[in-house]
Amino acid sequence: MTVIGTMNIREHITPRQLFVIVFVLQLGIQMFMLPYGKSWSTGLENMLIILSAALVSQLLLVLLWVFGARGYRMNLYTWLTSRLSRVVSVTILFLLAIYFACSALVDTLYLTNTVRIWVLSTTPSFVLLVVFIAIGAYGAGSSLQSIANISQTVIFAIAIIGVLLIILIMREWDLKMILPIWHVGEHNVISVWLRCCSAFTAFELLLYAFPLLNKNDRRKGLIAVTWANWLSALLYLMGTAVSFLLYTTEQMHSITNPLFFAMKKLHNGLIQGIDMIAICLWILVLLIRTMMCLFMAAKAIDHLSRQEQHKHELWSWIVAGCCLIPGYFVTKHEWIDQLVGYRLNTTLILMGLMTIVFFAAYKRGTAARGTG
Amino acid sequence: MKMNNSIEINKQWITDELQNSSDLTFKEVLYNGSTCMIVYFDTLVDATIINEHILRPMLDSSGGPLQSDISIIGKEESDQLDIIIHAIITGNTVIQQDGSANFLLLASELHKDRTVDVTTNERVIRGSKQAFVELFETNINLIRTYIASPKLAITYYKMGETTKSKVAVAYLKGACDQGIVDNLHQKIIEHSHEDIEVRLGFLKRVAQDDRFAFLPLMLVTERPDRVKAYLAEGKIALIVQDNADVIILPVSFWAFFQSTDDYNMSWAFGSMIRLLRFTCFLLTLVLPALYISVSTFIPYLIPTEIALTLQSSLQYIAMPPIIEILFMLLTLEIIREASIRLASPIGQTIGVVGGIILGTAVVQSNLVSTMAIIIASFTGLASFVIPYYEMNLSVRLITYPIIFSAQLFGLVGIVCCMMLFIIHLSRMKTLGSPYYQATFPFIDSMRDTLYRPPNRNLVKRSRKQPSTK
Repeated sequence: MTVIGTMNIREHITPRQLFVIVFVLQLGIQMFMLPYGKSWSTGLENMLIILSAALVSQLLLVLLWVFGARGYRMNLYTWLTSRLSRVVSVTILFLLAIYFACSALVDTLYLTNTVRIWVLSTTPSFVLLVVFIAIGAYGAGSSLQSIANISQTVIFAIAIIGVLLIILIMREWDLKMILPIWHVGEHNVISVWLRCCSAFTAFELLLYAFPLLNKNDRRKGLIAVTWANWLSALLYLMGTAVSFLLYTTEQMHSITNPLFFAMKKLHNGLIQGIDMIAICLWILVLLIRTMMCLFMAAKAIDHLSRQEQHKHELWSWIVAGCCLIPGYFVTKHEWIDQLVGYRLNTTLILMGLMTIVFFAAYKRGTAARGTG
Repeated sequence: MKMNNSIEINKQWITDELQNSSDLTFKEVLYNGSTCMIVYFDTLVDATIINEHILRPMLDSSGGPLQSDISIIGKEESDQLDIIIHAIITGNTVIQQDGSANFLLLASELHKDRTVDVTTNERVIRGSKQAFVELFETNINLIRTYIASPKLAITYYKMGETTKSKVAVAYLKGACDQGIVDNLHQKIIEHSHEDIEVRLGFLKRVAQDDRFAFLPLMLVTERPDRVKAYLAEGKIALIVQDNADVIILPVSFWAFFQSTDDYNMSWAFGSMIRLLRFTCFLLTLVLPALYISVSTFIPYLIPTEIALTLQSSLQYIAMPPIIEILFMLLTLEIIREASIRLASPIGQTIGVVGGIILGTAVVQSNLVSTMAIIIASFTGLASFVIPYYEMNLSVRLITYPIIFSAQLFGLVGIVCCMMLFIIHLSRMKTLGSPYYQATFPFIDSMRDTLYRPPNRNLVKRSRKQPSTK
């Protein structure tokens, strides 16, 4: 057996790696759909909502840091298996695995649908689904550090999209178009606000990754995710600004991806189809999301027995294979939209539940330390 | 097997072991009243050493023991047949005094190597022009001369059950991670008994973690100054007997875009050339695929005038763009391979025949469009800019799956292939260290990877690789 084979390598990440993963993961599916999900009902208030959602998400990040990173030195899955009874921990891990697998499937279905609409209209969607899921599974078999490396490599794609958005804003700049006005009633505002909240935090990942930071890097970790959070907010704001500068709320109701349409306006003497390039760059970003979800699902299954089995590469392929079966039957655009909605709601519920669990555990730990 | 006291029996054994070779020489000399047998290969030994430092002292002996009479530094004693046989076949002269089973092994190899020459594969405009040669000791000598430091550690190994080739591991103690050195040591020991000819390829396999890596995980260089620079950075050098190249490991992906010239010119030029190399690397990877994608799927991506030119160039071409490109790339590979294997004057002719005559003919016969020829030529030229042959080969190989993917899925196919490529890169490890580290958008990570910083900022690069321990 080689030296490497006998060594037990402890998984850890740096604040910089945490920053890139969180940033790329947050932008995943939300970047091109968040501002317009219910924009027809909330109108120009979207920008204010994004800002307030970013603020709330920042609060959540701090809470997570306090409960998750500062209090515990193990990742979520190890924590669950070590603190809870066998039956409860296995049930929760299994549910988490299903949640992440479904997330991977929904995001990939959304990506497949968008690619079919915009680029490859004649290619069967299942073929694209297989390709994207396979890439995700291959990436998910890597370590968290490798996924951070991959995420950092595709940041150039986000940078290009950011530059394109800035150019669009500068071209169409009009102050009165982006002034937020409260006029559609609190129900719609709250609905969109909740959706916005789910776009931030990359909650799922942080539960796993926060405790993997070295002890000395914990504070830097919080700063890193804060950067990621507000950079995402900036990009969401820019996307929203571009949409409202170019289209009316009524127009946006009928346009699925207004940002791609907006990019069509950027054609110049050298490249005419900048929208195509933007879609292709966005594929890179979304594939990271698929990869990450499959990674989390595989890790959850890997922890089902008391000790981590270190077979997450195999599990990521198995989970990916399982995703393809329901994926084959989801063919309609409306179904995918519904699934995306369900997934966002589930994320919100999970966020709430996990915050409560962590808070309770933290209080219990504090009380135990106090009495001890 | 232990040798016998009798010269005659030993002579028979040695003759049998060495297949009664014609160049095997036995001489008997009377030394202080007893007979001595001298054995050597006359094709391997230096006659001057034998005459001046072995025979003359023996004949002029004043009665002292044989060991002290002979004035050669490399002296050993053994009574084991396999050791004696190995000594003879490596150019030593062995002497047995009648009545004793002990043999004296004397270093008398004839060094017939070429002198240290100028570099042929890694040429630079400014800086050292010296290159390694095939002789193991000369290469070690070059490294020791370049790095006159007491911290330079060199460990010898013998590899290959039959060939017993010499391999040396050189590193700077303190600069290099001991965990990586130990890891390499263990791997070499594990493979040292394999009955295989020890070449660079074999050592690469020994030290490589990932058998399915598409990209070179080790840097092969013929430049001593390069070895010096990498040793100072905490890397390890592997020197192999009979090889004019040295392996550097563990190296990162970015090392394959660095050249000694980058550091011998201004930082602005150095950075520009390094960026050019990386751009050429990307162009070699995706340019043919982009052509297929644009001409097959999205001609409206490019400006109308160019799209019209493309359309007119494709108008009378019977073959689809993918066949055109594959045909042209295949032609390019054939020309490249032919020009390497042929003698240099004929090699130039091949270039003319392939490039001009064949190129003109295929266009005139409407087999391939002019645009495809431009793309293939540009791809070929771009691949030459990559400074390392192994990386060049790998990139040329990876281009083909991207081409097929572009034919199937257009731009999306290229993006998916690039994603797979990035994942593959990120998963690769060399001696437990990550092979690829993303650099953008952090300036300090980009330093001396994507760009060459000014000298005042060119601080010592990471001296230690992340350890696996």
